[in-house]
Amino acid sequence: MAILEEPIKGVPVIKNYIGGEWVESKGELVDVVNPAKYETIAKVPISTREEIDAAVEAAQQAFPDWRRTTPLARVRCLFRLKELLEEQFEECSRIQTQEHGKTIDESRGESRRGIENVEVATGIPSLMLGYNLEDIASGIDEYLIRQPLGVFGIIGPFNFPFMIPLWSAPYAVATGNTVVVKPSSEVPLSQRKIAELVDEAGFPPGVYNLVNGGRTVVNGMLEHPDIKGIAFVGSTPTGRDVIYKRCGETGKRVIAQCGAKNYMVIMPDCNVQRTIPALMTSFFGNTGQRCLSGTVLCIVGDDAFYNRFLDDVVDTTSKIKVGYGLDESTQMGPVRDVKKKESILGYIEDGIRAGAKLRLDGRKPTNLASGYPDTCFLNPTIFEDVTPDMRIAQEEIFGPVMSVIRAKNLDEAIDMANSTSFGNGHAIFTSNGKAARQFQYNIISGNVGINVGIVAPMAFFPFSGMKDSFYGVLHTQGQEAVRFFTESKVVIQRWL
Amino acid sequence: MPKLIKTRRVHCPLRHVNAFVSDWDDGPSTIKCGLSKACGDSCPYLENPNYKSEYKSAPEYKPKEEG
Repeated sequence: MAILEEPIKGVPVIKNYIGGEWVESKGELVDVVNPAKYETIAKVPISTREEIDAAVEAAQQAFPDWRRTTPLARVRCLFRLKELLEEQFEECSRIQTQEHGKTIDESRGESRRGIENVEVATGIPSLMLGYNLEDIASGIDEYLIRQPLGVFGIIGPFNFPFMIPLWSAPYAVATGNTVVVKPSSEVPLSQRKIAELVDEAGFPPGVYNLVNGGRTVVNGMLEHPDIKGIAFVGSTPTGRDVIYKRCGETGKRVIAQCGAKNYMVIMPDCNVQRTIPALMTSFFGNTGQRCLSGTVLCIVGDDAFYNRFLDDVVDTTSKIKVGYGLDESTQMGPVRDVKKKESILGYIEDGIRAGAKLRLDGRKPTNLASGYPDTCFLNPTIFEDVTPDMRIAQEEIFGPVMSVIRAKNLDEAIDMANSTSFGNGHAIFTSNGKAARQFQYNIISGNVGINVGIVAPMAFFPFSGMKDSFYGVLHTQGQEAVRFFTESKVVIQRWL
Repeated sequence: MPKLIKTRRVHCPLRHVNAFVSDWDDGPSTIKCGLSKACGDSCPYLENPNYKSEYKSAPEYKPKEEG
């Protein structure tokens, strides 16, 4: 299988996209590093407060006209964007791999889900419809209309640089709002590409803005009175203690999708042949850097089942091919950067100290193709004899580490999963409908898998979450995104 | 008039979408896909209607034989 050509050449300096213009930032430049080769592929600015203010101002200025633009005309820009994204699908996918490290297959999947959100948002003329009822009293009618609010901030994480801002931005602009997008400064190239296509798609200046940077940009969004709401995806400490809290203080709408610790509960009646491959991509897909990744493998059953099942999991995991994502045969790429690798290694050391048995030691990557430094690479790790109180069973590691726990029965498995502070994407693997229903009914998890290891809702369903995995009320994607980005106005009318 | 033998729904691994391959009794198979314009000649099914990607997102699981 081939090693694909890299789309990013040289070391471009990334600009901001404000008011329909590409603007050089005055902020400090930092390196964007391809984690597989550990080489700098771009320089990204840490934009200043003045620059985020300028973007919000451009968005605010564009809002009145964009709001008055007919929904059909607004979605024509999205149809064109969708077309451009399809034309440049492969380039978009390769950029993700080059800047993030994930495999090209994962990047293509990410591109697809991003585009699907654009497709769903093109349905706004129907999705945004209100409703009415005649004669709520004699000669009086009542109706509801959905109106856009103004400027929204969209803050993206490092793990899905292309897709996650598309969970929100298409719905925001389709409903008549304007947006300022801030990608993670670690992976800004995918959003730069999207902004280039937005520019080509015919959106008027100021409707869609891109500002690169870090905390200053986030604070600028949180404090700006013209920002009506924030859609954030990232860690729980930031989502809960900064975004959610400060949006509350300043009266902004908020979606804060945060961390996770997902249990994959294995019942002895599961279809092993189908379950083990699903677990491989659940735990080790995207190198475990996914809020829907399996993290705890909770096996219910007797010793014979447990030993046989776990032996097979360990054996299959040990064959995962680790390498550069643009090598088409790679099954797991590097983690995003050195700090994240160090954090993961810290959790592995912690697991060893706590008494868990290291069944597969992935600390030292082996069999890496020659020419790639091992700086950001890890192999998959599997811990056995993990207990629910250990940090590796409670905290989000965000890396390719599986913690194996045993449960006496399904009730105990559910109790253990519910004892974590997160509730994002727990799953059960069983052939028993009653067990599946019991799990679905009692598990505290916004997204629930039944024989599905990565519970990623389609674009026309909300991306849910509970407990420390989500702060807010309405979610990204689909109808809930339409609700989030619009105000419900109720009119009661009587003509005399 | 060519006779349709069957239409197969395939999952394109390059675009992560479904496409349709129709086999006819009198000639080559035809591909119907909403993205055919965007993909052009790079569509792998044009060259080989039975195309299957070699790529596996995870190692193949082979159960050990009992005993």
